[in-house]
Amino acid sequence: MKHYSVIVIGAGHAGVEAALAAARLGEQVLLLSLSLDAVAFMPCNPSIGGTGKGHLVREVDALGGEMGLNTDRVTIQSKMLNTAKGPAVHSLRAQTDKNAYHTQMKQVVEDQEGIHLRQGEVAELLVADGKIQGVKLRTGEEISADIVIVATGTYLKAKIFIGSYIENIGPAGLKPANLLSESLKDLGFELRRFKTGTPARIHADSIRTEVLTLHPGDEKITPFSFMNDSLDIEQVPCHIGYTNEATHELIRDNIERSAMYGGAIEGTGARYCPSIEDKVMRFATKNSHQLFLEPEGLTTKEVYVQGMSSSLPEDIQEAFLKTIEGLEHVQVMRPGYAIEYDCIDSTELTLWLESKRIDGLFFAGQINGSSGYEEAAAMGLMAGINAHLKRQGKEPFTLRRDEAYIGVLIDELVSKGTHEPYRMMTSRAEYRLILRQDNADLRLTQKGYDIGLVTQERYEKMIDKKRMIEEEMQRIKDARIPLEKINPLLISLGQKPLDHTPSLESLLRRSELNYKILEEIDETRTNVPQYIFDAVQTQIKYEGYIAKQLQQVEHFRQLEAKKLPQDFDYLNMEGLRIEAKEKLDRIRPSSLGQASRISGVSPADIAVVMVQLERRSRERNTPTLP
Amino acid sequence: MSTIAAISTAAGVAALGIIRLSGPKSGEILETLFRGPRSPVKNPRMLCYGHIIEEDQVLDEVMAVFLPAPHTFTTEDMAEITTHGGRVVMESVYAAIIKEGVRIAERGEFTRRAFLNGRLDLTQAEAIVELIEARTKRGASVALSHLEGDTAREVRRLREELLTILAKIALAIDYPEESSDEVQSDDIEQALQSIDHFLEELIKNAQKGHMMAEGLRVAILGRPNVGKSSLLNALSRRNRSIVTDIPGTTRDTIEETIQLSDFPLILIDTAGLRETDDPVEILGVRRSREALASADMLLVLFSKEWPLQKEEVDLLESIQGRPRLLIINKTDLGGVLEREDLLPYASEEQVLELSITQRSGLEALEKAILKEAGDLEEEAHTPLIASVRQKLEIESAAASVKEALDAMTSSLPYDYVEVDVRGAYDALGRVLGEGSADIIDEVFGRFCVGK
Repeated sequence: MKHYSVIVIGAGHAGVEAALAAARLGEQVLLLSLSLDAVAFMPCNPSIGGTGKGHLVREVDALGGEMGLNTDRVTIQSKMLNTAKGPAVHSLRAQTDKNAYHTQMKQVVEDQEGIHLRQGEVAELLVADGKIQGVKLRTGEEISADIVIVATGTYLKAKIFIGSYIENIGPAGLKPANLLSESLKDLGFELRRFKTGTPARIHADSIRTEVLTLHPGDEKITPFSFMNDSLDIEQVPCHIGYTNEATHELIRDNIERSAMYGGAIEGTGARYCPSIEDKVMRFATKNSHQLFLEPEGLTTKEVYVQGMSSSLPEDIQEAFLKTIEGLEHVQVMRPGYAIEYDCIDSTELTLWLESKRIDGLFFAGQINGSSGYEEAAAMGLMAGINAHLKRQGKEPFTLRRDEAYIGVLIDELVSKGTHEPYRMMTSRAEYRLILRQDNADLRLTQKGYDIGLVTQERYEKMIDKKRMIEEEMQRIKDARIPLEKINPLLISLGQKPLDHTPSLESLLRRSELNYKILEEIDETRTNVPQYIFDAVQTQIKYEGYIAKQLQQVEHFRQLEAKKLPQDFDYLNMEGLRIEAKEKLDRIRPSSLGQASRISGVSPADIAVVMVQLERRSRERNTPTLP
Repeated sequence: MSTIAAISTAAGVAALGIIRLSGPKSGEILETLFRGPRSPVKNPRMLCYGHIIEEDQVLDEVMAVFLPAPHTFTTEDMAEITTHGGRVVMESVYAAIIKEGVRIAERGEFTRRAFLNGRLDLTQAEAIVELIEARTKRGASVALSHLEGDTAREVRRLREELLTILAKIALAIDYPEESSDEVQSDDIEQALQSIDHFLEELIKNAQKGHMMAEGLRVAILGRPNVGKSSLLNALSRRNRSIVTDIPGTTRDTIEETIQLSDFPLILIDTAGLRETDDPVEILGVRRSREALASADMLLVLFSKEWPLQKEEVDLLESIQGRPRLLIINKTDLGGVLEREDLLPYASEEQVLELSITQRSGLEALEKAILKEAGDLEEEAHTPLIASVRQKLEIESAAASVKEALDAMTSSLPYDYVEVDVRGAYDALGRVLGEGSADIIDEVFGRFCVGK
């Protein structure tokens, strides 16, 4: 029987990150995929990043993952979102060439020493004595492994819906995985059905772009990877259009033909990813909805119609698209569809994504109830790292909510669980003022380096950045701007002139001034990259709030540091409500902080647990009399 | 969950007493100890007549009721036994119950269970504790208004508004391309200003809530021998005196709690306000100054015999604007001090004349006190906050809202301000003992976004 130290099932965005991380850390990895033509495939939108998700990609990159690098290779348009708001919520999003994304990533995987990329469907997980032993393929072949990472995405018992047409196939007509679900059920995993959807793809030449709003990329691109200082490409424009009353009327008139509304779909959909029929029905007073037309690549004319995902029949999809100004002559190339698939209850997992019941079995990506390429990649990376650490007998690697969006993502999935496909959002990260996309390297690269995943080059780049920021902080403290230079500037801005020569730092603190305005009179300015100035300016301008956030983090860490014993008898804990008893017993939180985030566990329940914890520690500390 | 029992009526002579049980064994205990024509357990929520019997001995003739879960105060099975009021009888019944394996309830444990079982929010639980401790009818009615949730309602309303702001900010930062017309800095700023205003109202009234629950502190001031002690004694005799404590020397302050109409009043007799070298008297004078500073209302006594003295003028000037009554005593003796002499320092109805020894004018004085107290109460028409903890949390919420407003004025982006808004939202959550709502739920419940 063949043996690998790690088997990864599925070569989507979670699977490739898991395999790459484990292999780069020295593991012998078997990476199995239903089809090698779908490695790192993007069956939905042709873009990477967005609010919250962009942060995840930057963090994956900072830890030594591949998604950021691969995105930079195939970006065709890039935009930093939220630039009108504070730097903490700036989020990067790149339109990518989806075919190129797949071929480039496949090449990286193929070039990686230690990965055996192989086509094959897993029929069964082999488990003995509560420990994973390996997998059995559909062909009957058994392969043994120390660790198995399940990253099957949306392929488990996948089923698509287009109006009344239903077929048991995976995304974009790919083969589904029908056997593994049964094996998971046999192992005691409770499976649930989630649902997501995608819009139609239309022919670029059938769009009258001249009547649509042009949506160009940024003038100067911020690359996703910290390894790239700039990205010089010719960008492809996107366009914005709007639905109107005629569109809505058509949808309303045919609503019973939608698979969603017809009752054929049992899976739970995500509220943040509503179909156009959902938008029209639920928000009837809104008389127009926005849609974005995004090219799918440089070598295809297919265009993704973002905002218009639908499970209506093809003829209705075409008809409602034709009501939109600019799409009167639209040629639909592929219809939109809804897709349903099996996933597990993520509260069965530990914070390092291992099953609590089966030793050595990890789960990553959409199988855990998440949605999105970026969430999948983040979990894949963490599972890959932890597979290696477990093999080495080392402590698991986890990230706290105050350290990374990845920490928020995994904590919410395993502590709270999710009732709909889970999407990362900026507003989920309560410590986001310190979790910026521009400082992901400063937060995480050291950790990635300590694990052994970050290259020397990346590590030194981060150290350099850190040093440059420190030097610039010192420079602005020392630099003085003479009154004859600053006062005319202040007066021109309608401000009062100063009496004493100010430091550059004190000037940067003022709301009406910034690096750009001060450029002319800041004579000691050195030639450092723009991101150094940005980092320093953020630090100075938002100092008060960053300090506040750090205080909250301090409080948060106290609760995280109160570890809960794994053998705590919640079921018989007096004063806990029944729901809390059951949830705590099942999830077995590792700290009081994690317990407090479990839905259905109230502050009163936490008070009860605290009392018990205190009582237990007192009993333990009472010396027994001789 | 264990079963607990407590004697629920206060110590003291009374015709009846109530013993209360809560927990799964409540019914079983009644079955074991109660004998009567009708079983309370088989007739839930019905008051049944019978006897408590222990080892064939009748302990008392009682009324008993069984209240099955979950629609009870603690949401558990409960039983109430009404016994005769004698201490000995009650304790023998209570002891028999405890012997059946029921635990003696800890102080406030019924309320705590109600809270832990989700029956009450924290504000209500605290109000019940206050209700138990309220010493007068008026205090009880303040406590009752908490039970009905006046404070809770207002706090919850403000918290809801903060949640709306949080949802809008979340919307704006997560859907920058779809939400531009839904979220404006100006709207957020305006909403925060309104919340700030209402929080200030709550805080302003916090002090008064305390006053209603504990009693209105009324300091009696004046030079030596103007009749301060006599006034205190006269008012105490005419009204039901609740508690008397007379600490320390005669030069210390003396407090007496009385109930005037339905107002609890704490009367404070102060030592004479005058310059002195006597160390004991200096101490007394200092305490008097403190009493003066902390009082809710001042009664300043003068003697008809003497013209206005310099220290009296100083005192009158120093208390301008505070709730006060100026009283000329000893009108029976005749003298030089006239109403007109005091009018520069108070309004017409705040100046009174009486003779304590002749028992004349006391009724008018009481009416005037009630009117002043009523005015104070009138100002407190917004919900009251009585607990110190609640007050501190509301103050911290108000401080956070102010910081948010400051930040917006200095044009910081609202995603930073969110930290303060959330701070305020969490603080109000602690007032109610409630956790936070899912902001994401709010966003998708209210706005049409997503791709």
